[in-house]
Amino acid sequence: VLNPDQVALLGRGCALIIGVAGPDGAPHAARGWGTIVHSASEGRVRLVVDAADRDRLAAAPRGLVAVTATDVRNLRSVQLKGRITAIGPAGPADLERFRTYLDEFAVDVYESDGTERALFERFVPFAFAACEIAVDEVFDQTPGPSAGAALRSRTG
Amino acid sequence: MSAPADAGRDVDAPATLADLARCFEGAVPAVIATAAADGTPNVTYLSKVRMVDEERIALSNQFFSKTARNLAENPRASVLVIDPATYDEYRLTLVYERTERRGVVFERLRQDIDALAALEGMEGVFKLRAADIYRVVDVERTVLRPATIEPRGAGRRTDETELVPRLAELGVRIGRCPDLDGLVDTATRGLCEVLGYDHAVLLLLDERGERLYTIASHGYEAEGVGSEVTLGEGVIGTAAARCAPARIGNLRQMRKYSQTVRRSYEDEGVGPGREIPLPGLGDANSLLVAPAMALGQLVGALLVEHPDPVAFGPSDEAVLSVVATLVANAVELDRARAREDVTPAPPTAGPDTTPDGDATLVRFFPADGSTFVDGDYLIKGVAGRILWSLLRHHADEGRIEFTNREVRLDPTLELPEFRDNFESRLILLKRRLDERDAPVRIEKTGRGRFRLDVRRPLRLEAVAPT
Repeated sequence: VLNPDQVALLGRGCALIIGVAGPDGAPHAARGWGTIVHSASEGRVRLVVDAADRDRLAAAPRGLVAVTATDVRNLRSVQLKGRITAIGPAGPADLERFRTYLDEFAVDVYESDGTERALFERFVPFAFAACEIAVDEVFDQTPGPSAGAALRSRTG
Repeated sequence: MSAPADAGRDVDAPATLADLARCFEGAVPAVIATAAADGTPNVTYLSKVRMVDEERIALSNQFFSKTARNLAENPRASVLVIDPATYDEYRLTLVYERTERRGVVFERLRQDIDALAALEGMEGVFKLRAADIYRVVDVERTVLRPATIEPRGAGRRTDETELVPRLAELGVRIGRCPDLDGLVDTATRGLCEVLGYDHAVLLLLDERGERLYTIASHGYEAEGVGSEVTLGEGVIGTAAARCAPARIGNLRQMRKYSQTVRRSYEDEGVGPGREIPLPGLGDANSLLVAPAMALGQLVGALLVEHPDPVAFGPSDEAVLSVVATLVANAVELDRARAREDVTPAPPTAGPDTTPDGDATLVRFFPADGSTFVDGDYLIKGVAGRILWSLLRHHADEGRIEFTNREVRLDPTLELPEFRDNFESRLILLKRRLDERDAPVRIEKTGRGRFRLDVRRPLRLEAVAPT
């Protein structure tokens, strides 16, 4: 499901944004704080999230979730759509991934935009959860006329 | 150690849309999540979010078609916005109300998008399709970490209560200028000295209404007199063509966004046009352009820049617009006075004070008025033709004293009969000669009169077209 470029993107300090719907259909936007690709071929990805978003993510109908990953240096972006198959407290590996993610993200943001780490750390969560995602589809989300074009799906 | 950025602010108070005004400056991309009727979510970034009123915001819609389809099925959205000065983040819960394709809100968003497009020469390609209007039903601050550094842009802002008196002072200074040369200098220097805009450029519209040329600047290593911007191209040209201000913050990020969109269009085989380099600061991170208008006509434009990503706000836009209007009206008054000037001045030859020494070669290309001094480009167009005319008179008749009135009648200048802008071009030439430390200068000797100061022997060469 995920090609090497997409795995590389998810493995570094990319900007991560999350969308889910509630049981009533109301959308909810949130941020992600690091990913671990367990299996590119099977599209299994672990996502570190704000613990405050845990209930929202757990309540998503059929676990449906969208995650857009953006390389902040050039804004190349992909949107993963799939299902949350499990969610729970962040473990040591998740927290370690968060720390390396934040370091990489801080360097990329500072080098490309000049934004100091201390500024965007204002919205870094206090506590974390982590969810397992089964990716079904991948879309190009790079800003421009091709944004939203399907790149890969589990069936094709 | 500096005071916390949150000092004096009740961070626990519920935020209103008005409290979030800076979030809508577009300096940090917003995030929007929507969901289809079956619960399938979509999440992406937004180019622009604008506040419509105390309860509503407008989102730019260029190409987020999946978002549009979701809204048709499920008219709700969740948006994350960030204050670019403090990086406070807010989550807005929205209910979609309507889509506008004209009107005040649409035009304002269109100006934003056009300015973004102009950064990479995508005018006419990267366009606003619609402005989607949403009612904000909830505002939530996402994380409450205390600030550890000063907000960005905190050091530049002038106390709002001082703006009007300062503006009045600059207005007085402009009003006291006796001529165009003093006016352009006073305006650009005054923007720095009185209003705190350290880097400013004043451009005037050319005779054909096709290009803007720099007549004066302040705060740059090179004054850049004579540099040009095509009307309708780039941020300056687009703002001037629309006769509407343009304000862009976090320019590095916006330029990156614009470059990405441009690449995306190129991948699709669409040629977005040539790249227009912005004149001025190499590290500018905020810019503000105000058109200078008088009697309903575009006269020029004022540009200010700053390295800080959050340097300019709505009050800066208002202030610069007022200054631009003052300058435009003064320029037009000067032009009207010049047209009515009936100073009789049969010029006389002055004493030839040209010093001895090696001659400096002045090459002139009649085709476009380009003029080179010892191989270095000096000026072109009307200003180049004026210089050539003066130098010919000096070489043939030994003249150094001139009047505007007689020079403007020279048919070789190819001036249009209406709005010839002669005085502006003469000032441009004067300033360009000074800037380049040229061996010939122009000195004003009275109203409508000037003297040619030839400091080295000159060898004139007109290059005929082949």
